[in-house]
Amino acid sequence: MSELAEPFDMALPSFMKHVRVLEDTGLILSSKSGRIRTCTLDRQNLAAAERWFAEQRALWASRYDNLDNLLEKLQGQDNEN
Amino acid sequence: MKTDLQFDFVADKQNSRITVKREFAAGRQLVWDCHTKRELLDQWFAPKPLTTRTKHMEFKEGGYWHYAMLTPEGQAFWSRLDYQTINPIDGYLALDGFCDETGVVNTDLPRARWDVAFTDAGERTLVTTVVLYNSPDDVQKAIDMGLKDGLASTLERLDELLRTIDLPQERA
Repeated sequence: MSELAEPFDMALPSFMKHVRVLEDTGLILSSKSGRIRTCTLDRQNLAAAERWFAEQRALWASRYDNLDNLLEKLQGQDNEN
Repeated sequence: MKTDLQFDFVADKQNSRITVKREFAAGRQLVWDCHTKRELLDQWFAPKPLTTRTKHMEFKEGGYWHYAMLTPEGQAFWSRLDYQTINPIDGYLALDGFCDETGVVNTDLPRARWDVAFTDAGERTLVTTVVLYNSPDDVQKAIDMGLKDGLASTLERLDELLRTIDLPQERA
């Protein structure tokens, strides 16, 4: 853990807090052996989360493109009236 | 998308929220109507190639919208949005959820709160939607579920498609 924290300009306890958040989200896993805690990146989980967010983004982008078209159509109708 | 219309999408898993901001080239009343009237929602809410079909809509506090997103093959994904607070034409708060055809919410799956705000942006309207889950654990459940249901694969194809159609010249 201290090795992992080294490049960051923060105290170890603060660093541990950040790691705990990442653990809670399932993006990293950690295991303790004696005094050594080892962290591993859960690549599968990280990829799943990234993919889901990309899908959510795509959903909103497409939905709103549809709305652009609808708004254009509705305003066109208004102008004709 | 028209290239000069603002579109921001921020996913923040630690704080269990997704924030979507999008500008529309129309006045606030019209954009509001498109979000709150069934005959208009049916024309845009589902992402392509899906279509929207409303089964029930009562846009008032305590009311709900029950709708399906249909694949071209006819597979239906049922959802509902329960309206909690409504301030025409500034915004509304609602609770989303997956349900069945009869409108019964699947309580095994997390429900997210939608905070949708409409603001003037010159001649345009800015819509800000914050989708807030109860916890990072609930976001994880939504991710796990998203991998299982058929909607994910449909959207994955869509994501690919969007990368190709976002080019401005394709829009003309």
